[in-house]
Amino acid sequence: MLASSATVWSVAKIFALFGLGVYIIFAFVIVRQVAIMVKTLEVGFELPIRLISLAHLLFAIGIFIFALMVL
Amino acid sequence: MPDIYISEHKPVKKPLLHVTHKHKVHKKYPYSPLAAFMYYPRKADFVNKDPEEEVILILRRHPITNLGWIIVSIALLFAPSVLKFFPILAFLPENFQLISVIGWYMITTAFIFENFLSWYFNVNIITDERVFDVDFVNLIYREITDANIDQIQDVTVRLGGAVRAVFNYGDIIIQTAAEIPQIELQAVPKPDRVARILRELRVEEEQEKIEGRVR
Repeated sequence: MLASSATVWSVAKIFALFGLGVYIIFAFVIVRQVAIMVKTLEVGFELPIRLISLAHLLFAIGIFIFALMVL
Repeated sequence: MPDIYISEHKPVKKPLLHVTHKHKVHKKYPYSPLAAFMYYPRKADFVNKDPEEEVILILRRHPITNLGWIIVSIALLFAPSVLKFFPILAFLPENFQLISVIGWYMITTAFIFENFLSWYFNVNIITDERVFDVDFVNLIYREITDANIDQIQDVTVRLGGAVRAVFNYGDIIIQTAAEIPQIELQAVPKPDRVARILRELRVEEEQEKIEGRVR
């Protein structure tokens, strides 16, 4: 019973980490797309936008590592 | 000879274009890169811009059009606080609950950022030579349409509805003789002023043709 419960949460952990891994890929796509968007149009607010996209990616990676340790 | 008729003195409308007074325009009009109506922006560069091309107007959708996703974002941000009253995640261990809430906020952040990027980078640019329509349909699909000012055949301003009338924004449909027959500027602020600027640009292009000037 306990072993099956541990197995269920282990599987849940794998799914959660898989989802967070996919989100990291999505965050990386956002960074690349922001770079393309900034090249398309520059009006003076590009640096904060780039920083936000990078911070978002770093945050996604940090959450993945945190989930790896906590779950 | 007595005067038969004396016409009333009508004040002449000053043209909106200030092509010879750009430095004065900068002082007169406040500039913000987050504005939806940027007249003679101080800094403006975009792909396919000619070195001699001068950006006159950069337009975005009126900020009020963002109200929908802003309200949704606020609801998403406050949603986890509902868990105190409706503990729908109570079946999960605490560590999974924590990761779930953090993941929720990450998705909310991505939602807000994506909507902001969609509003910020979907612009219409009017230069002294061309009209551009830059559309980022989604994160991975971009479409840029441009037409020369001298190819514009018709400009239609469409402003309808209570909200649009109150906040003074509407659509501008530009019929062109180019391959793309129509360029639509959606939900732009001050559409009448934009139409007037386009009219003046067309007049100036015709004048350049008559005088044989290239630019």
